[in-house]
Amino acid sequence: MARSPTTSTNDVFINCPFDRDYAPTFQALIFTIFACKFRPRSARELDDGGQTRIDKLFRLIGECRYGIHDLSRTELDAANQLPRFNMPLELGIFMGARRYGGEEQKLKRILILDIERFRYQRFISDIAGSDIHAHGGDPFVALRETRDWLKNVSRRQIPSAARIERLYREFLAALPDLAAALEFEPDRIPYVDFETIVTDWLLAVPAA
Amino acid sequence: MNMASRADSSVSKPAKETSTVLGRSAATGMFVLKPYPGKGTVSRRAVQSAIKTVLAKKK
Repeated sequence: MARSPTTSTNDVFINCPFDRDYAPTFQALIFTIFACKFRPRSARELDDGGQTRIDKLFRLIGECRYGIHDLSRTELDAANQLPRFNMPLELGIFMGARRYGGEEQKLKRILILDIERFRYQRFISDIAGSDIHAHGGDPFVALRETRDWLKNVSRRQIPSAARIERLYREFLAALPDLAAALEFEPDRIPYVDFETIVTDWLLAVPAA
Repeated sequence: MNMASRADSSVSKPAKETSTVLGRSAATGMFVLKPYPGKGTVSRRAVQSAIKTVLAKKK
């Protein structure tokens, strides 16, 4: 029987859409997670060859203590008239790891985000009773929900939501200049580069 | 079991940590963890230089 993967108590799996409309919320989640001394993990890491994508996802999910799952994208795709199923699938894998995994996997914690708090009842009612929070499509609400949830489930000392929001607004104000200096479009910065920008920004920006 | 009572500190066998600290942020008062390894388009040195320039302009 395969051993359960070792989890990191610092790693937060972000299961979310990767489209351009969602980018502001994805960026806010990455910033918040780093600002709270955690480390974001995402399927965006999985571009290299080797294992099949689903095997990489199993490994990635197994390595994360925490999971943030955004179910915002339930509408039909304009081109194919079909919904995107990757987010509910990855939520199911995460829940399955917690349910059937070893000692460490059972300590996994899950935050489910959606546009409205009870909308899930119309498309994925089996998750009733889970910790579901609404962000209304607002990245700053997602920031606060994420910060408050990390504080609650980890019981660590982390910055206040007001401080993280202030810092994130400062970061966003500087982002166009940073992106221009690095020859990126502000809303199309590659994932790995965006992480480097966030972490080095947090290290460089002075205390208020 | 109450979710809040099952915090990191309650884990009897600590998980193996693969994350490392980059440094301390004066703005948050927190350590900042190194991102999961991956190949970026630009070098970290270029990012640091761009941040330094942008922050200097702000002053």
